[in-house]
Amino acid sequence: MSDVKKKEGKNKKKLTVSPEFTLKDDFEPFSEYDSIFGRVNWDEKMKTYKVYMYDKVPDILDEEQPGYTQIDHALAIASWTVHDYFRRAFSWEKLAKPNNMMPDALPEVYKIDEKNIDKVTRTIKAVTKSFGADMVGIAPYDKKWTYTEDRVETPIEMPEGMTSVIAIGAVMDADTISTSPSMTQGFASGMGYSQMAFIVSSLAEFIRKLGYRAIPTGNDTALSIPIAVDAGLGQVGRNGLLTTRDHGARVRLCKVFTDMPLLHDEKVDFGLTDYCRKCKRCAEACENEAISFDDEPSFKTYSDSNNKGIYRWAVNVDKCYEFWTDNGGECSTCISVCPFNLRSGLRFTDPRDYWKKRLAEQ
Amino acid sequence: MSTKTTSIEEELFKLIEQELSRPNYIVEPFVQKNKEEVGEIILRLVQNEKLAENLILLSIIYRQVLPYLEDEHYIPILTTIMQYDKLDSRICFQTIQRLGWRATKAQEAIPFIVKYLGEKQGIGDVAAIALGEMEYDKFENLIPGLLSALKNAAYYGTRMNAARILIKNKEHLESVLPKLIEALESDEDFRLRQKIARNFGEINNSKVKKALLKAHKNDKHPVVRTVAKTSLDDLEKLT
Repeated sequence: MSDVKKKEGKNKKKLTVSPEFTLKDDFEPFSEYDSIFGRVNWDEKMKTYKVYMYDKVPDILDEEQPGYTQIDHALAIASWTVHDYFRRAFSWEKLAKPNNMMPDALPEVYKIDEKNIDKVTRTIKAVTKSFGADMVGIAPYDKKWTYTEDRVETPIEMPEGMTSVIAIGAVMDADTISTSPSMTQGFASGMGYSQMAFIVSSLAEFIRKLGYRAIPTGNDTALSIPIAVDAGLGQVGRNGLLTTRDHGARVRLCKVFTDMPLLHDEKVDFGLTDYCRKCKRCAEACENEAISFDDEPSFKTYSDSNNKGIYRWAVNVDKCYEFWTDNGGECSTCISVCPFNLRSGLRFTDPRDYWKKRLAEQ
Repeated sequence: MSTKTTSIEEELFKLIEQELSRPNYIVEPFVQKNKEEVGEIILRLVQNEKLAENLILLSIIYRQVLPYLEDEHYIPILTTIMQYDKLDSRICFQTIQRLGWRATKAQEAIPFIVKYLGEKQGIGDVAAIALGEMEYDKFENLIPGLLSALKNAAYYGTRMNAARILIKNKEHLESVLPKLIEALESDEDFRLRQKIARNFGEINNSKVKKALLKAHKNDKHPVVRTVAKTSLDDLEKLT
């Protein structure tokens, strides 16, 4: 290659997956209606149209197969309880008066200015961790990550004046995740979701008591992954998930939108895109080849469930979900094999050994 | 060598030394900041074949340095290591695997990987898989190695990769189908069996259909039975 060409090549603007996102002109904010959990209800072209995650469980449960027994399934389902039944956790308004309490005192708005904003920001992070979060970062509110509609096509209108998003990560149990793809590992996901309900609802109430607005969210309302990237929690990996330096993608995400004045975190770049370019462990291990083997990221998408116009390795989520339905529950294989998960987690645990360890602890 | 490069080299080895005494992933952020220079330094370092004897140093380089280098250094470094006369089997395995992951971009390494076909300790298996990824033009020469990996590899992931490469190569699929069916029927790991069953949903062939029916009815693992049913439904749509 001539020196001139080499120089031109080096000066060419480098496309980045994250922490800076490269967006094309055809990028549009995503509608949750198009997500896999939205499409399963209406997209007749989808192979798993109206096939829900637990539909095949009666045929799958097998007392002879480790990780696929009734105990494993019950554990996975039960772990979702707080998330699934405490729906007020995600209320956009202050929660109503509790049954067994006096009416709340109405405090003045807690004053935040240049002098105390740093302390307030650190307090918010400390409180979030006290409620059970393992990671907290704060990003400026960016409208482009907010869903245009929810799963049932209701438009989402974020109130005016939201300035920040508190991105929260709850690290999932390493032992449990390492039993993937078994039903047992569904316990780690379910626990993550129940934890998120507790954390965001409590944090939102804390912020409201200080006189500011707070909108607690799980997977709903906005894309959690780019928000977590903007808040400095990690980067996007080949498997399409938020990947952190110390726990890989073994992190469940949630977020709280607020108008409370807060300082914003810097994004982090720990070289994940370079790493993922050279590592295809997740693609090889994926139970249904839903993860790209492409050497380079691109703007390629597989279905309407991929947000268009974003440079990355898109995941074939239709294939991913198809395995979930045949597996009788979620799968975390791409999480468990990631070298960044292995910095604090485990590669594979036979569900029999998982239970042996748990029972021995009693 | 410029003063800058010398000081980067000194700093790099200082960090590696610290990492040797207490693993803390302190090398990688430094590499990310100095990719170009570190790439040159490691490329020079690997010219000395004695490096092969220092397994701990190599393991830090593999984990914390190489993943962050650009291909212009990454591939020549691994290709140089592949040419060592004596190479620890684990390092050899990892080197071949990483070159395979770079697929067609690492084709310059093909001649040095081919010689490992048929090698023991899983190296022949990973060599066949890597060459498959790299689109080696004599695919038929890889088939014995891939079939051996499919049947004998100790790690289920290696068997799964062998199956994937065999299925991907449509030209030779007919000849390897009996072995894939055998793996579907008898591999001890349900993850491999379900993956073959899943892939069979795209192969419209009577033998495949028969194998899927058998798996649907008789496989001892429920996930394989369920996937086989899904694949049978897929095949039904194809006909």
